[in-house]
Amino acid sequence: MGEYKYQLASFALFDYKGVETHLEKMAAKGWRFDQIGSFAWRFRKAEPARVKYSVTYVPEASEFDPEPLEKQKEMEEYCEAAGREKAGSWMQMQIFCSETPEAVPIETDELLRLEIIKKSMKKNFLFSHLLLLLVFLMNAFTQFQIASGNWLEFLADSSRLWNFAIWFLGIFYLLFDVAYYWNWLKKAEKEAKEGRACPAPRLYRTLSRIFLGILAAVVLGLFCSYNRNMVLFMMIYLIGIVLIILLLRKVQKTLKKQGMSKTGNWILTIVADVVLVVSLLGGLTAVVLKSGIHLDGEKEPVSVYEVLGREWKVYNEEIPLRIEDFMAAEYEASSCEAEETSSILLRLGEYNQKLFTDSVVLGMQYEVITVKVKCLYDFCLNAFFEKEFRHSSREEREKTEFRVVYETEQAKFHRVYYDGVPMAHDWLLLTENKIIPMTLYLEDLTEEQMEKIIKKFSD
Amino acid sequence: MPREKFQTLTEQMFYILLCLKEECCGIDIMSRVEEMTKGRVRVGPGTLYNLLEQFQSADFIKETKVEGRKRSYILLEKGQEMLWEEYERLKVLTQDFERLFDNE
Repeated sequence: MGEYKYQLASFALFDYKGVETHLEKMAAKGWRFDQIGSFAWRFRKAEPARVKYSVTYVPEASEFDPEPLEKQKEMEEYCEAAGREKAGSWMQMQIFCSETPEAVPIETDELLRLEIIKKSMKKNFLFSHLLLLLVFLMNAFTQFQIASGNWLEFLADSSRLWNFAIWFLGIFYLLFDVAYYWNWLKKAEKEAKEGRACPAPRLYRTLSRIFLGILAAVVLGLFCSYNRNMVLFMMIYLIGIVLIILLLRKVQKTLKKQGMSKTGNWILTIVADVVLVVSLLGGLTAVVLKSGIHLDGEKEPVSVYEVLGREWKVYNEEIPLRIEDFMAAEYEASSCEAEETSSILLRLGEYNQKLFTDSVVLGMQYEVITVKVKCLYDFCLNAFFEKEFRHSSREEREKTEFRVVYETEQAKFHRVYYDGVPMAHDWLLLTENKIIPMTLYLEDLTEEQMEKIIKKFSD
Repeated sequence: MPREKFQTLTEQMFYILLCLKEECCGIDIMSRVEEMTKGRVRVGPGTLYNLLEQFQSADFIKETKVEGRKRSYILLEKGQEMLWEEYERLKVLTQDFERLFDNE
């Protein structure tokens, strides 16, 4: 076993009792609290011992102070006189230890203790949480705005759904954190007025861990929804972010050592943060652009076909319905293209097929919107019409009709009419779970052909 | 508001102010209170430090000298008044108690 042990910091700043108890348990197991790093608390191997840890707060203290405040130093002297040594600090939290069990506690007035905890929380926790909440809400709102522009694309895109879940979880966690503190504070105030110790927020660590577990699962879900190139991009990005956090901690410490003022250190660290994040994002984007890597995945034509002097790219992709499936066609070459996205809620496929002869190009293009969750069908159908008429005037909307031209038990085939006249190419097929708008550059469909198409999509 | 805050004094506040009737270094207050109360009242260093700060801003005490990081304090008139008020309050409590139990 190594000299050091690291543990993820999942304590709330106000949970002094939790910190004290945990550090005492670790010391009893032979791990002395050593220092607090960017992500974890470090423990040093030592002989198991009964060490009494005491936590107090200096609301004015900051991680950016060039050296401990005069107040912190004075407090340390008071504590030393009472037989307690400084073990470390975490933001406003000051941690002391003593191997003399009978040493007087650092705080002997519960109301006063609560008062300084409240001051410390107001300065650090509430401010940062409200700021983050604002950023998260703005982001969730922007995503909602973009999603509402095309719900079908949003619902069929796993990565966007997972992404939205991450922001949603973030908002939920911040609200939970503030509510938990608020609830604890009310209880603690009641206890302190009776002269009793503030209650330990028992469930906090467990709930935080459960939340982190869920978050990790959602991030994993997000990664699984990406293609290989995007996973690589995100991995590099995440490693970059971790390195930036470590580097910023180093910058902050170096500036501190050089005696930079609190404000100076704060400003320079923020500037360094912005510069590093922009450089990381810019650098990665530049690499992606220069190398010609497609984050969406690449698509190469299998050949090129020339019709009347124009070149057409030929693809050979799997599509659910080919022209040959419902009508006899003569052609010299055929190109099939498919683009699909899918999530647990929806599958969205865009397909097209072109048939080439010496002098003509025939073809069709269609979308297949497969609703995987039945209750979303009507919502998706509405979203489809919204998308179709996005750029149409009210008059155009009113003049457009979808007339049922053929129906079976499983499906209804519609033809699109405008102002009472059938449109040359536009059809809409609705099945129990599919919405299939089709544009056919072919002759009008016969009932027999429609039945064949329905059968194909019912398989 | 400091006045509202110190409407009544806790035992710890009472003894800290009492110690400062004579000039005393902050750190020494802890042991003095313990001696004075024969170990019944103990003031923790964090509590003491914060109370001294609050007493100072409420003008109950003032800083008299600073040697390195050792600061000495002494009671001011306002602090003395506060102690007297508390003393009178405790006296009334004691008298009420005695009256009731002496009559029995």
